[in-house]
Amino acid sequence: MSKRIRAVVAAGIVAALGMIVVPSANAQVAFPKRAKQVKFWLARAMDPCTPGSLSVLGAGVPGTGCFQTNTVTDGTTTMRYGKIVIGKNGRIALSGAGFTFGDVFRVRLQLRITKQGLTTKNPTGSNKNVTFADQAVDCPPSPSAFTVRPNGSIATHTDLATCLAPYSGLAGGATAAQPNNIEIVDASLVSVLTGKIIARPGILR
Amino acid sequence: MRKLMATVAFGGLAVIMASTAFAADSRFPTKARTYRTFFVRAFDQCTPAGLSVVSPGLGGAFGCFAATTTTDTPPPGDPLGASMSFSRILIKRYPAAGGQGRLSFFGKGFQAGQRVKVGLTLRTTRSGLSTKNPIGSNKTVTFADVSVTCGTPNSGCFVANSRGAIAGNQLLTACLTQNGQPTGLAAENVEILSASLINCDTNKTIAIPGILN
Repeated sequence: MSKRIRAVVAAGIVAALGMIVVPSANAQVAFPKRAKQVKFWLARAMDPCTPGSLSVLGAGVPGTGCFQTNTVTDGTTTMRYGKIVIGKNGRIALSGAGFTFGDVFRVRLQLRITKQGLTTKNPTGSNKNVTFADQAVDCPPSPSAFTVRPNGSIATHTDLATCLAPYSGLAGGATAAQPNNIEIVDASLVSVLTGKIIARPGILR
Repeated sequence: MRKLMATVAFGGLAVIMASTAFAADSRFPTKARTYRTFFVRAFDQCTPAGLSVVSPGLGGAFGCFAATTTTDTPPPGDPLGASMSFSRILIKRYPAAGGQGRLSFFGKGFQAGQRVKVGLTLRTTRSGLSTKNPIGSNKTVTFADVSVTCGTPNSGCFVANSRGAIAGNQLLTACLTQNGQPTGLAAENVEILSASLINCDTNKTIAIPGILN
């Protein structure tokens, strides 16, 4: 009797383990139900610091740091403030002030897009969730750019499909019920004139 | 005389060009109020290796079957994994005069008791500092990037209630302290290089900023 119980328990454990292992290999991870908007105010982008011999005095700050530099980041563009808003419909809006008339910018994004309900080859499959290689895109794409107004402000927008061309199908799902999961791995504001990053998402005291 | 004029003109031009090239103007912005975003599910990075997609609008693009090996797998794939119907964070200057920063997290659809934390990578630049080696005063200094995880009250994690909802907040200064970092990194020009939602039990990334479209 105890042998039978043991066998049943063992079979149960094996079955349970099987249930754990099989779904992780085959199940498609569900997307969230809601992710409407990303709204980033911009802080000034500075060069990364690898601390050397510079000691910093003062309470509440690390003891080492680097003098602020803007060698790999933009150090010439003026900016009072800036804001990037990416909406659910793929609309990318840039607004800001304190720029110089004639300055031209692009919003640079690194995106990881997963699309559902796809048909594939090698191997052949249908109704599959597919993640695409990370896409680094400039919005709007060259040769277009956002241009600063005579009063130094900017308030303009473009859309994700334009930025992702020729893969504009990555911007939106096949239907409203089958949206794409669009991860924004990185976002920044880039000067077309210098090709360098002016600002990144952040907050300011 | 011509030679002298040419020299003066060339010299003047050189001075103008040099002053233009070095006219650094990377002062801090006057305002950057919030970092507000919804999270979308994090999937493993794809390095295409033969799988092609034949659905319209994708031009035969290459991709990978969506996988969550290095990222968090929800149940039943991983019983410790996190389900999530939606979540969002708001990081804002706080209090009104700034200096502390405050992070708020809200989400639904988690398992009851699920523990999550918010991962941030920050690059802070502070002004008006005194330095040694070399000695200086009123200097602007950028500090090395720091990666921290924020959450409270359960061992640095936010915890889902019995209905699977999480609503928590923490001062950025408190988050820095619990990660062994100086609180001064929460002030002035704070770049948020990355943000993510992390499962406290598996230490894998559940979600990162993004949209469903």
